[in-house]
Amino acid sequence: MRDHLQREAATEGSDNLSARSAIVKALPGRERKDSILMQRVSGSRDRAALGEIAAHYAPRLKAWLMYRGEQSSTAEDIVQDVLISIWTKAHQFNPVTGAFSSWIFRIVRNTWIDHKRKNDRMQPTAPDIVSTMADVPVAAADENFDQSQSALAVQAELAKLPVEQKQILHLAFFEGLSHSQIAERTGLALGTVKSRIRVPLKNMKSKLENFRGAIQ
Amino acid sequence: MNNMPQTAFHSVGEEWLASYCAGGLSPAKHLLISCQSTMKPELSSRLAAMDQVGGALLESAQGEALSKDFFERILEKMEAVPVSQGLNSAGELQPENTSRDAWVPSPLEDFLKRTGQELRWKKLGFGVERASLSNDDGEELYLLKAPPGLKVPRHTHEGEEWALILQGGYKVGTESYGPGDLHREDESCTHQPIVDDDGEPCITLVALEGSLKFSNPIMRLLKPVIGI
Repeated sequence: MRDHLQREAATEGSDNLSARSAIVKALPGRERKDSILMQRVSGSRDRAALGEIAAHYAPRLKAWLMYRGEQSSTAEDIVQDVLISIWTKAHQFNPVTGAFSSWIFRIVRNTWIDHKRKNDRMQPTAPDIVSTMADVPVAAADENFDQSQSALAVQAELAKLPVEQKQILHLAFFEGLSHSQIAERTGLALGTVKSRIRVPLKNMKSKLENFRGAIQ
Repeated sequence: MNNMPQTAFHSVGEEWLASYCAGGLSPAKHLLISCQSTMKPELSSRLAAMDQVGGALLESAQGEALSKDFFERILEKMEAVPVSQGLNSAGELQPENTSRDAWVPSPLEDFLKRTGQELRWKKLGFGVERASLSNDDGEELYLLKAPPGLKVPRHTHEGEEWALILQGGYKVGTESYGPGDLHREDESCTHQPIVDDDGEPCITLVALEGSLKFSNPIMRLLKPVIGI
């Protein structure tokens, strides 16, 4: 596991986040690889498999957190908590309900929000605001809807998008920029930014509803 | 203001749901979306699809170099952490069963538990009651209970208002809003909601930036008195 992490660390570099351009490219086979690794984690408590997952995702999760203003050491602490959640709850991951990457995406969001909530509690300037961060489990989704179909549909739609449009989604989902921050970064009008986020996501939703129609 | 999607309920546009999934909404707005997704399974499916987008972007993004002792520290933590209980698959606390009112969605119930709050309804004018929940960085979160048939005086807002209907309903012009609908308004909209007159009070969970601005000068004078 340590070897995987160190190799990854050596290849990622450590240049300034803000100076980077978004790299948005498909990773063919990643979803299947993750599913196999998770089978090893949940089935045989295979630490090397968790190490392979960590080698790929930990640097990306750390970047996700640093884009949201977390310091390097705090970001790593949160990533470690995410990986421990994956280890302890591996049996709850079901590839039929969605790609592993979407599961870890939810976990990092919820872990980060939980971290912020705990810190906010300690802020004397904000004594009243505590958790409003409860999130909704995927299991609450429409049970008649096969999420594995949705994963394929979403990835196919994402692959079709022009690079500029994908980069706007990257800024929203990965870098966590607000609509107005994206407008400032790209020089686009605020309304254009909103529509460039909304339109591809609505298109994906339409595809998903087609699947739903076919299933029911 | 509201998008009326193919699935027949009111919510905010996809761009706001994307912000929710990216963890970018304010705590109050985040809670409203969480509550709505428990009331509308279709919304939950849409959010799950957005997490697929977020996951796909995450797996292919550029990472940040890790510290040399990153792995050692995971091992230390793994040894120390017991197998978690009471957490669901995404690492959230599972709400316990309680005897709270049926109109309280589970994320709101969880919020009340975490904050140790009981609802304290304060009477305002016109039979309206309000229970404050939080005030964070200029955004108020509160519950509003309005009697059946009430005509809310025409008003606009200084900032955005998101209102999730938990019980009952109201109309704005020709649009009807019922349980599970999320109604978004901003400073560009002047409106006069009329609460459905079906014997049941309308309860909404509201996230409000700034305050209301009434069109009627008498209401403007009364505003500090009635507390809206």
